[in-house]
Amino acid sequence: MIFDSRIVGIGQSIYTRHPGEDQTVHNLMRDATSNALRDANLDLKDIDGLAIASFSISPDSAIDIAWRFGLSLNWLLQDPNGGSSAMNMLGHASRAIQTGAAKNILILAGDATGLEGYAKIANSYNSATRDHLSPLGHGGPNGVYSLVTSRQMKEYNLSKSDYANLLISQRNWASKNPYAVYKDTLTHEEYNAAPMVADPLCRYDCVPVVAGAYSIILSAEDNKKLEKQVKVRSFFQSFNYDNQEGDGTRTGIINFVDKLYDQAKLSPSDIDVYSIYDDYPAIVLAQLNDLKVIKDSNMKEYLRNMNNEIIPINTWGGMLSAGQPGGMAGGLNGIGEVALQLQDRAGNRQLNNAKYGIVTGYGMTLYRHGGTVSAAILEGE
Amino acid sequence: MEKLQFFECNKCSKQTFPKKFFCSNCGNIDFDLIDAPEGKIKEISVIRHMLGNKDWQPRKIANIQTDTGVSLTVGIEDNIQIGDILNIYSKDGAPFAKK
Repeated sequence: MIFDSRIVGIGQSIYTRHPGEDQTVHNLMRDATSNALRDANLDLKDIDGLAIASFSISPDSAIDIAWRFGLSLNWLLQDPNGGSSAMNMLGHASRAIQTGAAKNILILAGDATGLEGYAKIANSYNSATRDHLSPLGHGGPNGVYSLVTSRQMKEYNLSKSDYANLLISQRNWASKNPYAVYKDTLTHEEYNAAPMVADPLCRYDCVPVVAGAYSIILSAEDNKKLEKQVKVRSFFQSFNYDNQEGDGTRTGIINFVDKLYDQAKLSPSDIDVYSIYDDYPAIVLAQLNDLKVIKDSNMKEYLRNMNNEIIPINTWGGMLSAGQPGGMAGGLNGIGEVALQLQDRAGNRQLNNAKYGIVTGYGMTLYRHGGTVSAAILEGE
Repeated sequence: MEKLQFFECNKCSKQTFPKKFFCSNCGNIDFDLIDAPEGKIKEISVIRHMLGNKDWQPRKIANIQTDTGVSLTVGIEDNIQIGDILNIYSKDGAPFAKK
């Protein structure tokens, strides 16, 4: 799909590992919304559509948020698809604007589960996890992706230490993101000495859970105060592409990768910046490989070269360093970051001459790996 | 522990675990319950940390693959190695594997 809507406003709340009493999910969502509205130069009354994703607003639903935020709407969506929610909402909201169902849609995600709340979600993520994985003590997604990572290491001849450059690169970006919860640089020595969480995954391979919220506003009209407008030039998704019968080292991107570039009339070498959903390093690499960014699928060489280059991947630090405010808001942060880069508004993280960016979402760990993946090419013009 | 039950399509014989409601190969909705065959351990992980549990003791999980093409995640004991051929059991519906 090609969409004509524009990303006209971006806002986020504080991200914190240890939320205070007033840092509830509703308050954090309010803060992200206020910041996005200010950025878009819009008022609450201008918003006529709301898309929302959160694991922790229960027992409230999207309509409760609309009510409590004072939003009167023509269009409403709540998306429960975890790491793919942000991309789902971007797609649905873009189609809503395309068809005239709404003009200005607030896309909002956030979570403040706390560690115990997160553990509960992780252990009962779906019935397969609740019945067949949690009783093993699988450790939530860490256990699932530890096995996927081992398969990737075997298939692509990677050693544990090969992954360090990806984590170091993202931590370098996080050091320039004022919202990131981890800003200190990371060394190879620190990475290699880090305690294991679920072999071969160490502490730095697992996302730090934070409380936080993120918001973007999608509109039928330009934000006149911005010099560059960001539009979606190509958008594709894949759901349950292999019935969990593959080994998780490939993603559903392989079902649409050629169409993704063809629709935008671009090739992989045209892309300037990437937000690749980063719940685990192995999944970043799997997506980059399926997007044909990694030459000849040589992950080892790709990771080695990361040592010498500025790699424009997850320039906000990604969830692995900036923090995971739930996978839903984390995915939205990736979209917002690419938009900021394409609008030349990424502060001291700004890349030179960024015109095209790729954003992805990956999620919904069904049993052996994720069942959903989405990718879009954004253009700043 | 009882043998773990796989679900075998009674039309095309494709086996699956966990339960599905349509056969992913032929679309049939009828499955026979069969004892899981032996499987080979392909990857092992040690779960050393459990969110929200300070008294956690490390335990092992593994990916096991049967000759019939089913891959599943099982709990294993400490002495198991990659390449071991194991029997697959059920403990309250959760799969474990033993020599």
